[in-house]
Amino acid sequence: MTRAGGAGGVAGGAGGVAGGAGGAAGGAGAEALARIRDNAFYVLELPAACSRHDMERQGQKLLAMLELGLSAAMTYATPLGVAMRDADKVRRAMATLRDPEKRLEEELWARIDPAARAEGSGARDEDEDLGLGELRRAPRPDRPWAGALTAFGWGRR
Amino acid sequence: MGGGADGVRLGAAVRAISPTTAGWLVAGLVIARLVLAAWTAQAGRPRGRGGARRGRFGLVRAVVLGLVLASLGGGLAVWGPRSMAASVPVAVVLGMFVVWPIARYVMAPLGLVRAAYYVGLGSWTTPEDRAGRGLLAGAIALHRRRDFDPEAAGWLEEKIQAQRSIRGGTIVAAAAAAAARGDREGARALFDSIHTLDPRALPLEARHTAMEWLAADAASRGKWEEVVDLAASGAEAGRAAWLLGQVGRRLLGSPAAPSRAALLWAWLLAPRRRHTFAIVERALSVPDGGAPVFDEDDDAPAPHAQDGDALAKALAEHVRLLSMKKPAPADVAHTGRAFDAALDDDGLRDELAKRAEAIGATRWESVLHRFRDEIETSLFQLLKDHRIALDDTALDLGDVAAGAQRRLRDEVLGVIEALSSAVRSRADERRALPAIDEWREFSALRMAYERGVALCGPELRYLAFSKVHGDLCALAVWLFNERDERAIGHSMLRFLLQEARAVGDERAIELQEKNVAIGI
Repeated sequence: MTRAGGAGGVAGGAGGVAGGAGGAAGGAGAEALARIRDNAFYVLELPAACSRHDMERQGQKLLAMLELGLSAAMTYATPLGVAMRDADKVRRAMATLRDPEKRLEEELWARIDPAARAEGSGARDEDEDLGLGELRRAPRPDRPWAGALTAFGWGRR
Repeated sequence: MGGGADGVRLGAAVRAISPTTAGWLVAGLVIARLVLAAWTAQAGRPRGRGGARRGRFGLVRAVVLGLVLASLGGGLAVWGPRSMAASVPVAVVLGMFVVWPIARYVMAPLGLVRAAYYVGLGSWTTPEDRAGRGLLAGAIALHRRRDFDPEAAGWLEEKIQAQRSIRGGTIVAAAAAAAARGDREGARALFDSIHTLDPRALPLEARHTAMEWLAADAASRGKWEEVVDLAASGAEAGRAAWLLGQVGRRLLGSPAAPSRAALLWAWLLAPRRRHTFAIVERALSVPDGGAPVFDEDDDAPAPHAQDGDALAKALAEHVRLLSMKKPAPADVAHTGRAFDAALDDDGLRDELAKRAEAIGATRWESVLHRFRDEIETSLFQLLKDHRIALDDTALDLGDVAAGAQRRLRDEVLGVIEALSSAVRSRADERRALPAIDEWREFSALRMAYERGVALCGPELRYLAFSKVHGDLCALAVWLFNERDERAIGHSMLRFLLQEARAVGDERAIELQEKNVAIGI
């Protein structure tokens, strides 16, 4: 039998030392998008320059509308499209805007006008008028094959 | 007539071969074949404890089979071909040659875990990795049961954990067992680890099983490029992976896509045709010479930002980037530079200071700092999730994107360092794990290393190699020299040699070339 250090044995080399400190992580792309979608100004549909009084009044109005189940209060516009609103979201938004530093941060994140969702969206889309935009697109051929493992006997029947 | 005379002579010769003679003839031929196989296996194997043992096994196998066959011949000679006594050794001999097919294609599909294991274990047609074959048959049987059987899975796991001198069969069996438990990530890592094994330590059945699972797993995630890569080795990948590779080429609109006839041929040759027809049908629906589908077509445009507002423009780019299916490194760099421009703008700082005063906020600088940090974090997360490698030599990253890249490199290096140090300290303290767990630890380290290199490039490779080389070498040497885990020890050394060459470390290359030359 051959041994390390002996003829033909495998031998250990000197190990160097390197490496940095572990970095931090948190959230994903969806979380970053939620940071914009759930911005307090978008939730309350207020401009960044609004007063504290405007904010309180708008918040109360939305809460009352939500309590009555009015559909107009259930959605709001964001730069990412329409988002769902509920009473919790409204209360959280109001609480955020009451804190001056948090409000300042929200102002930074609310620089995009939610009404103009995408470049060129000011012009009406002719296809949209015809309802063609709502037609289902043909599925991509290279979409996942969910049953692949089962097909080869690797999943539960 | 001459012809008639020849026919008579031939008939007489055939009649002269009695059952006894035929029995001895068959026995002699089989013994000769087995002795030859054992001798060639012995001659082709480097000297070493494991190699010598397997060589001895080959000889023992030849002797035992020879005795059985001799008794077959003797039985035929004494009692004649119709005797029951003669049929027993016939059955034994035939059984020895068909045990693996019985284990793999009869016991395993029936979900008979223990039976598949024991029958697979009796596969005497090869001395290599018999235990691994048995475990593999058992692990496949676990999948074929209608419901997951935790008791059978536990029993099989115990067998896997107890296995010594493991080779590819045991590793693939452990991977299949992990998949049966629902640990898909763990299974993927183990199946993928066969790529680092020395081919001599990987039985064909194990390779095909692993490739089949990996290809099916990639197909189920829609990673058809990965499927095509896996199947690139053709016949080596096995029929199932080959079929999926052909399907993948058509679905992706690859120039090397097979014709409809070629795809149908691959389907006919592949296993489980009834179950795979759906995906073949989908691939057939793609027209011949179909163009590839580009993801960019699906990406939404950036939201509209007010002219003159650099921060709004940067945020709009950010939204577009985060919404992309496959963001490119240049997109990340572009967004990073947009934020650099916005955040370095004195106008924004003045505006923020004024707004802070108006609403009663006292620490606007920390608000700006937090905002920048959040942007950097989201870019870091994007790089990590999409496995995007930013090359600062080819791209102008700017501060924000470079910060995200730095974070990623630090995290990757931290993980590699932690895994490598754990391996080293165990090797130094001689704290042994079951062989399969040693392989799992190596696989985790290798994957972290390779992922880090793919994400952070050559700079990380140099840093990580200088740490990993010494640590992993200590483990490999211990496994190889003291624990008779030659196959996995050797594979670790092969990995180190490959990396030493990649970074051009002459001393490491010299050392590992010497180590790898010893073989398994």
